[in-house]
Amino acid sequence: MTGGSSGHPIDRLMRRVIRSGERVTDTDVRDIIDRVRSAPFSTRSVSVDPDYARIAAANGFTVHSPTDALTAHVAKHVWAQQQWMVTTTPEEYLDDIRTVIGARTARLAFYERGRRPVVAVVAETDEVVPVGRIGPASGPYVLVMYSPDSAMILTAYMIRSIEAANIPAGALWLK
Amino acid sequence: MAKMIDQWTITTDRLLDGLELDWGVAVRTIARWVDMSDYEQMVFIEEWAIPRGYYQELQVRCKQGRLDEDERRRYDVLRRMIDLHRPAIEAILEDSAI
Repeated sequence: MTGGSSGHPIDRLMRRVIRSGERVTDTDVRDIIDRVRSAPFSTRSVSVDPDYARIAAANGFTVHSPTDALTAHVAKHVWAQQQWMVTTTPEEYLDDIRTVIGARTARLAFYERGRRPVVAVVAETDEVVPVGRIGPASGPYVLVMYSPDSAMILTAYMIRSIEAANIPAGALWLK
Repeated sequence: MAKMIDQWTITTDRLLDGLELDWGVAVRTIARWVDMSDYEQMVFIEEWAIPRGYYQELQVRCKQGRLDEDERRRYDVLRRMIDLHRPAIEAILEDSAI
């Protein structure tokens, strides 16, 4: 994904949990949460579909494609899809992601997509997103996905239900 | 943690808007799939839960007779588009259900 796998010990631990089912302690879980919570979005340029850019523009936001991943995700999930209120800033979107990851009631899922390891964190929207930032197309849950290979946040968005999420049936749920 | 489906307060109009938008994007994404970066492909797959959730919710509301005439017409158009492009999406998702 970024030219190799992260050598950070917690990312390596996450990959072992996914690939060999290694048991983790409560301390490990806390370390994993801290690691994911501090992760950035990818700094690589990504494209923004013209329809997302068009709707973002109609809502008063200009998006040039390609752009950085955080802006691309805000353009899609905030300014176009309006899962968050359109007035939500990229910093606030990122704050909400960090809140999801650190939420006491959040659940963690570990799985592989193809051969790519993924850690998903899911929490109830009304527990982690301030009421004033919940948009008209919000869902009851916020899902954050992290790549232990690239050590970066892949995406974060709201969903209808945990069952509707694209998480494989064989995923390991830690919380 | 579990919430009932019918607690989702999103309007049917929003669901239709969202599904039309995301499926339109998906069709273009399929066309440029081989040129996309590994990161972009992975994000697309992980975010497929959004249109899938919209579609599941619309199916429920349609069965419950909660769509008005205009909504039902838009839903039928969407269903035809989804049926047309579903095989390509399913190939990309590698057995993940839409």
